[in-house]
Amino acid sequence: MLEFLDTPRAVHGIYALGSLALFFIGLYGLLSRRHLLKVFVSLAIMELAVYLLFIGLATTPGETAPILADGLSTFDGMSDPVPQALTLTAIVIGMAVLALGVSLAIRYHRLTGTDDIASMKELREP
Amino acid sequence: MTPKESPLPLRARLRIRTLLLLLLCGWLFLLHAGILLEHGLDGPRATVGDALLEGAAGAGSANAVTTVVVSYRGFDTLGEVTVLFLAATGVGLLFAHRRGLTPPRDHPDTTPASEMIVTGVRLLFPVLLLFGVYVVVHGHLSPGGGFQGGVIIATAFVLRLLVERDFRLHHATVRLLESLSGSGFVLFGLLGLVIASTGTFLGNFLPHPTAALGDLVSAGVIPLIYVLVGIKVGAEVGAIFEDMLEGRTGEGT
Repeated sequence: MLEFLDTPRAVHGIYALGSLALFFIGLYGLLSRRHLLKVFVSLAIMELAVYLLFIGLATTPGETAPILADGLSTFDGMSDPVPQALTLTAIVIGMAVLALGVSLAIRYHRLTGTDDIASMKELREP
Repeated sequence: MTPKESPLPLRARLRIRTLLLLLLCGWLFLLHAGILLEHGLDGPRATVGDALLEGAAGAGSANAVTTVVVSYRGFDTLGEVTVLFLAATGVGLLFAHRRGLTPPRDHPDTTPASEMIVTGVRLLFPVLLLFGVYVVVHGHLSPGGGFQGGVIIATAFVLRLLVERDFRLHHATVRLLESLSGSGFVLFGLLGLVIASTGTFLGNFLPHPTAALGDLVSAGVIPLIYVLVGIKVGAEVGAIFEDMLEGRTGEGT
């Protein structure tokens, strides 16, 4: 009865809807929260959603991981390795950017004593 | 919800703002979902990945993702490692001015870790280190590789940094490892460019017979580059964490 869920269209639809929902949860957090660290957490959630979308849409059900093991000897019927490699790259970059951003936030908090983005007035025109 | 009867008009205003934000996000969600559900469901057809998969066996690596990361997109990986290096340097710079005048890390309001945690971390440390090295070295055979294994190795040091008060990463050693592995990566790329049999940057100039597919010593230059990436990622993630930790304890001064 639930076989239609195994078709590529259904699986891709579930992945797309789920990761889009996650992305816009992150966007809502980014727009509504005012604490600096919560803004960075929201950004990280949005990044995660993009990774999920990328991997989910690139993999069709029935394809295996592109690794020759367990007796496989040819790269037939395997999922696309390029999105996986790109996502690997993006995860590391995301981690580095998050660490730098959090460090900036910590320094800002130490200098001004505030972590509220609504009260950042240092660069405002007089 | 009647704003007239509400005792706090500010609260009512905030609710309207939340509602508007929710509406905005919901509208954008529906917009994008509509586009994706209309065009993206069939998945990509005839992609670059298909062409790469056909030639992937010739690279001699059993893991096609590793082949793509280190060989086909090796230049991209070099750029990524550079971004990681810049981020680590930036974090170091942001917290650096307190180094030298920071007191040792026994800040008065940090309680020492209990004996159980210290012993547990000491037991875990070699296991984590071994596991990280395994993941790095087998990057061309199984899921894993330099990035994942490097982060596992960094985790082992992060645990000890968190638990043991006088455990420090030797800054000079970490910087030396970073620069050596980074220049090693570039050196391998330049060797591939110079040696006539390949003639491309990051070309696989070592023998990589397809017969040895799946062996530990196979795929030519790919595992060597991935080991260098592993060292670099491990050293940089560890350095980022230690910089932040020192910055935290310097707060009280």
